[in-house]
Amino acid sequence: MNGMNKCYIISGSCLHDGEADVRKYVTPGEARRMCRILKRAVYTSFEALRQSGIECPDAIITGTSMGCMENSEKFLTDICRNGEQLLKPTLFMQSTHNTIASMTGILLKCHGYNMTYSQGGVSFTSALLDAWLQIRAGEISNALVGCHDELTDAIRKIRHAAHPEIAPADFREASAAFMLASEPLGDKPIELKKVIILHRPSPRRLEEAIRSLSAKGTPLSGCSEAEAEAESLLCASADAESVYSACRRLSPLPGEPKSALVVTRAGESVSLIKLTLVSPCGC
Amino acid sequence: MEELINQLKEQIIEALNLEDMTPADIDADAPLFGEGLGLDSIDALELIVLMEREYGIKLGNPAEGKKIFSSVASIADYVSKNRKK
Amino acid sequence: MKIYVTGMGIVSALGIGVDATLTALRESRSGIGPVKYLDTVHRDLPAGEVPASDAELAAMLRAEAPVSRMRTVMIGAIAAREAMADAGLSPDDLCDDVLINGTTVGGMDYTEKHFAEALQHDFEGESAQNLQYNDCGSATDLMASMCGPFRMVTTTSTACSSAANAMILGANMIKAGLADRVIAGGTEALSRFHFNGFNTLMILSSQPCTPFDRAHCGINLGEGAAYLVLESEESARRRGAKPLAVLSGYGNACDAFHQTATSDNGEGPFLAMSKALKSAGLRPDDISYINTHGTGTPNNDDSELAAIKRIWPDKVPCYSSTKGFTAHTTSASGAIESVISILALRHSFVPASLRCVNPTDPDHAPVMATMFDTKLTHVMNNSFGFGGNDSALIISKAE
Repeated sequence: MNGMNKCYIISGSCLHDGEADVRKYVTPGEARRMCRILKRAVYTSFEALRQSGIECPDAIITGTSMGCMENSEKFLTDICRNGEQLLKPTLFMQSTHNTIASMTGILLKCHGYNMTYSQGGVSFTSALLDAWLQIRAGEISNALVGCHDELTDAIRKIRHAAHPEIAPADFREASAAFMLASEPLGDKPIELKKVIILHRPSPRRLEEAIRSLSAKGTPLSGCSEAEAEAESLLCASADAESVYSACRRLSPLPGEPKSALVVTRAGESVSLIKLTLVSPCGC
Repeated sequence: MEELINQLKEQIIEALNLEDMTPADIDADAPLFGEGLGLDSIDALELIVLMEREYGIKLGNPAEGKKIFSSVASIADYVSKNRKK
Repeated sequence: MKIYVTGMGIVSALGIGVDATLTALRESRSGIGPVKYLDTVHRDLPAGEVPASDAELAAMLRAEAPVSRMRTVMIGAIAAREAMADAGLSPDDLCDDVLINGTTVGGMDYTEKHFAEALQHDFEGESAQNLQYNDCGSATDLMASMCGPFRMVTTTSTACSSAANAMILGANMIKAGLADRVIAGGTEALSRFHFNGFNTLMILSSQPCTPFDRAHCGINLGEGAAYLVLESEESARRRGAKPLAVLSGYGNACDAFHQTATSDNGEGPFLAMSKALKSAGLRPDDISYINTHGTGTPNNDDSELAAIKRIWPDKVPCYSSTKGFTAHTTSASGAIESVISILALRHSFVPASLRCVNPTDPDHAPVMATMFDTKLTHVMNNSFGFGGNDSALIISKAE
């Protein structure tokens, strides 16, 4: 049962702060209710799909630590200012974390597996783990896996209060989406070898996990744990950003890294993601 | 009535995030739901909030709204007869 | 590979614990009543509150460190501890286990108590501190620290199907050999935020709800938590744990229709139930009872019944909605209704769709009076969330 298929990352898209122009992919009618995070989610998801050549994925799996924060905050603010009356249904409807994945499902008319994880800085890794295990088990042959988060002024201030060393303006927001598949399609397929999430691991357990990922003779590149922790404080989607940049760094050229270990330390969890470039000769 | 119709169009554009539209783009007699502007059940709920906030009209049941919200003209007609503010 | 359920715990409007729940179900005693603990102006809307104040809940947890003042975390920890004890596990046994928690509102009950003050201070300084770790993931982390050392912790957040989806990931992890044992379920406390949110959708009922009745008065919101210890057959055998039931199938599908409405023909529910049957290797007529999502809104109940009739065109199995007992416990409902389904399997009864007098479809009426001495083998349990996040589980009698 332990994974008959392999799992590959075959395309990806990443966007940072600001609004995405979604006109390329959806009608003004479809876009009218979309807040910033939804627009970025649509843009990156459709971009990853376009690159992969797959129109409707078997599964849509999303990670988000805070969901549609702007809508949630507006709804809470309205309750405080106006009392429990004349509240806007649209804000509530688009406040649940699964708004992003389900809206993507609605736009793509995709009836497949649809899932949302919300576990702080390892939300994306949780989504990746789900896609990885289902592709390996042959339950699905591909999946759109994304991570999307947005910051508001209030959230920047709240994070700053917890980490006074970081200025409110320095927190980043990001969106990333990837297509995963059981076949090594595309220009530069990268095998997703393993995904591990550990909760409050002891140093020994963490060391064992890392050792289990570093097969003999496989040089690993990736950031140190301390760097990983700093990154995930700055950006809730740091695990997704790191996977995106690791995928870009892997190269078949001599002297360039062929595999990477992406380490994320966020909140009480540590995640380990091992990526390996598929060798061009197919061996 | 003309003034009320224009005011309603502006309020509807704002409440329903019809970003790309101007009041001139909305035909007061055209159906708002289904074929017309393509509004849905959530828009109907937003219109119910708008009616209460702007005109003091309380609609307790979304089904009541169906007929009233058939076009901007029908909303204007209902508002002019029932407004509390 | 068989996925056993070797322990379960539950907290809802029916009381604290499995025994209180079973008694209420057998006596057809609903937990729905006037709002007592939630701070809201909507006193006309009944709810299914857990019958204990925050202080009483903290006392039940004996308030050893770390303590959480989030109601979602407290009821979650109480239910999870019951599940672990029921499975014969102590915290020391859990260091290789996985906790998968379904929640959507997370620590919102705590956030909203402090939001006005923070807003007043423009989220500066101390006022921001109470809003810091109230998100879903942090709530799960806190719960984890109150229940034992886990190897991995994560949170599913798919609105009203969150707990069902937590169980699906748990089962998939066990099947893939990534875990021997997973504690999966969900928790959600009432918050002014989602109480008002559902109210803006004009689907809350001012009377106790009547799922599948022509009156279709709408939803009562509830709160609660439930967890199931899912365990591989081999692990259970190794430690001599007796299965309470088997999680024999599950399906997750997307209705892909609208953010808040379900399609008329119930495409998502139909696909979720079909996938569940396929994954269990069962035929439709193997199902002896369906614990429906049955929220009490015309949209949900009609489309769910339409989907059921697509799978069982000739004879619909006996079905009911237990939301008339617990109210709609949103993110926790999938696990709460799984516990109820297991109680029905083990004690051979079918809980009634309370207060259903004039069924919407008289030819396919739900169970309107609790049926006793009814042998059940396989129970289907539906959970549908906003955005068409539809899931179905099949829970079977352990031989």
